[in-house]
Amino acid sequence: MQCKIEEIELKKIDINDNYYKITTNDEIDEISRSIHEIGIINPPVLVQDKQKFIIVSGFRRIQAAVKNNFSHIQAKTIPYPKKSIECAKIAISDNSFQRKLNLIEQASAIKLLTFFAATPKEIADIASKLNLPGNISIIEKLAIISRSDKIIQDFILSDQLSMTTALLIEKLKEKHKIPIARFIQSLHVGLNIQRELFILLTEISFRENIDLLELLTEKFITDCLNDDNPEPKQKAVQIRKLLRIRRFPELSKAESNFFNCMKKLKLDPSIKLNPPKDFESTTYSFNLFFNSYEELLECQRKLDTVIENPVMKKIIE
Amino acid sequence: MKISKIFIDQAVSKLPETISFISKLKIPSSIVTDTNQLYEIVSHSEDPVTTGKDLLFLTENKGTFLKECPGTSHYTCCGYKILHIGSFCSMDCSYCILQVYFHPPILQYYMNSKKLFDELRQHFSSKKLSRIGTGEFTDSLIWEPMSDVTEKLVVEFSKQKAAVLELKTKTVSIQALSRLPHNRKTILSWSLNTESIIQSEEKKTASLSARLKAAAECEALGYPLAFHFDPLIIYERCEKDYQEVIKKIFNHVSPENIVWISLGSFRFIPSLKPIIQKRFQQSKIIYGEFITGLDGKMRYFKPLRIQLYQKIVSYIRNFSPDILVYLCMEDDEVWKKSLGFTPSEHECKSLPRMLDQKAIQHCNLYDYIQE
Ligand code: SF4
Repeated sequence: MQCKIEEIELKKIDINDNYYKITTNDEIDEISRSIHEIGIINPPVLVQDKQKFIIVSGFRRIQAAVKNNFSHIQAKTIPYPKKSIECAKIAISDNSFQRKLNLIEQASAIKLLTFFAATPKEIADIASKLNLPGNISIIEKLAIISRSDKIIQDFILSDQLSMTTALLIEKLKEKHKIPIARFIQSLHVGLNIQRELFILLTEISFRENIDLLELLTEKFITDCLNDDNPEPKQKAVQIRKLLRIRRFPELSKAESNFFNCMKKLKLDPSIKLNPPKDFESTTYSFNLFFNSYEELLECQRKLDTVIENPVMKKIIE
Repeated sequence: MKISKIFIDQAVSKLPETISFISKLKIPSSIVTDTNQLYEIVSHSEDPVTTGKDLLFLTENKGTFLKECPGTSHYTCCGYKILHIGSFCSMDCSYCILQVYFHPPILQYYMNSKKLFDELRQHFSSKKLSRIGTGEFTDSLIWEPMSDVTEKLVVEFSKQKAAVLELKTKTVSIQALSRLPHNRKTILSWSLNTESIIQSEEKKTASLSARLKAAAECEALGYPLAFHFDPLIIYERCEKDYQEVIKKIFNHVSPENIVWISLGSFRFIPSLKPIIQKRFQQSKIIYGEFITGLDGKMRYFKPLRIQLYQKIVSYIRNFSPDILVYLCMEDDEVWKKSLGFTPSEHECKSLPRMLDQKAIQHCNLYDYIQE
């Protein structure tokens, strides 16, 4: 990197220009204390823009210097155009070679590269040299996330929304994105359930011609959400169950009939009856749990009673 | 057929069939030396399926033309043989499996028909009783009138007594059939659906009334007929709509001339779902009550399939108790509950034999060896 180390007046630095900002960490207390004690060890990188300077890297260091009321700082100035691929590479590598970037930082880095590279392939080539993912499909996903609303990005950062769910949400109409994201993150569930809830909601809405926002405010959902008692995860279980009944009414009815019959059978814990998956095949199975020959005989006796029960016949037929 | 460019495999560029084919289309064409380049154009396009339907590749079939139907595990297959004349289709049904079947999806037609007829004659010489169709990897009649293969097939089949040809279509391209000696060895069959499904899901296909009118014309020409309700799609009031279609069939053709009617409910491999979501954004057909079937395909929850089959069978039976109605890719339970018997309980003992028997009756087959 060609650069000059110069003493720069702080007020000449445009601290509001975030064009090259990659970091999502805005916390400056610690760095501020360190700068107060020993000054800036690693000078930030700046590029000149007429009479002012734009920050290429070192956003937090400069904020900390402002907080410490410095009038000048030592900085590296680079001789490139103010918006250039060279500056972008410096901005990214200054972060990516020092620590593992989180998803949103990776997305910001990819977004920056999209200003200078025309095709996903070109972006991938540059990205892989900058310690970023070099896979085109991941790059395309990161580019989508880089355009997401800050609220959605924050949910991803705080692990309340998976990237997969966020990508699904990005396919929705603008007015639906944030409400769906808020709804899903409020339930504190893992990736698979997030995805399932998303699919259930969107498919019900599409199939029944109901606006997603209307669906989200239907009584069965709001009652669950407003219930003070259960934990978010239990709310999620309940909402998922109700959505499944709505999306798959006949299958849900068959499942509930089966479980009612099971209750009537009063199976001993040593015997488990398994229905065919989704009742597609006709094969039912039993699991028997025993620890000794005597227990096996006992299972056999109980199994005979179950088989003779008319409810068992009803289940199979 | 609406296509914008023809690519010709160098290997077939000088064949008279190729020259005749392209002369009828009046579309720009170019000779391809590296097939991969063509495949890349299709697979790297924004929507490979649409691109693949817009280009036509005239090439040779390097494999065999005559193939066994792949069927599917766990469900009863009809034991039909496929004559692979070409791949993909210029019409555009949302549910079409061919969108995910070929990699990349591209409209291809095989010009080395000499090999096709050599294979066919060899098959005929074995005298094996067989039902052979061209409508599995493509629509049988979209290639009319650029190619004369179908005409030649009808004539070739008319000269033997052990096999029938089934031409399965959603078009009304039957003009060439009127002048052919078919000897009832070719069954003309139409895939049918309700008016509303044809309108919303079967882009670029002929209307229901046009299909039935074409069927009536073929009947008048002495061809045996068949109909396929596949895919049956469940939606509000669908039963009434299917009943209407059945009424219309029997208003157009006589039950005695129908060799068989098949019923198959909508099923799809999971990878088709995102394609439908992307290409047919208004389509709701994938949002039914689907479960994963034993073969990994998505199918309607079994009681729903049975309920619809029962209704449709009863509508057909009202018009004709004798027509062979069979189910595509269903298990014994569905057969029993929908039709009252399983293929093994039928006097023929299997679905392929049931179909063979009908082919024998309707198409005057009498010099064959039944396997
Ligand atoms: S007519 Fe048949 S082959 Fe053609 S698009 Fe429709 S389903 Fe596919």
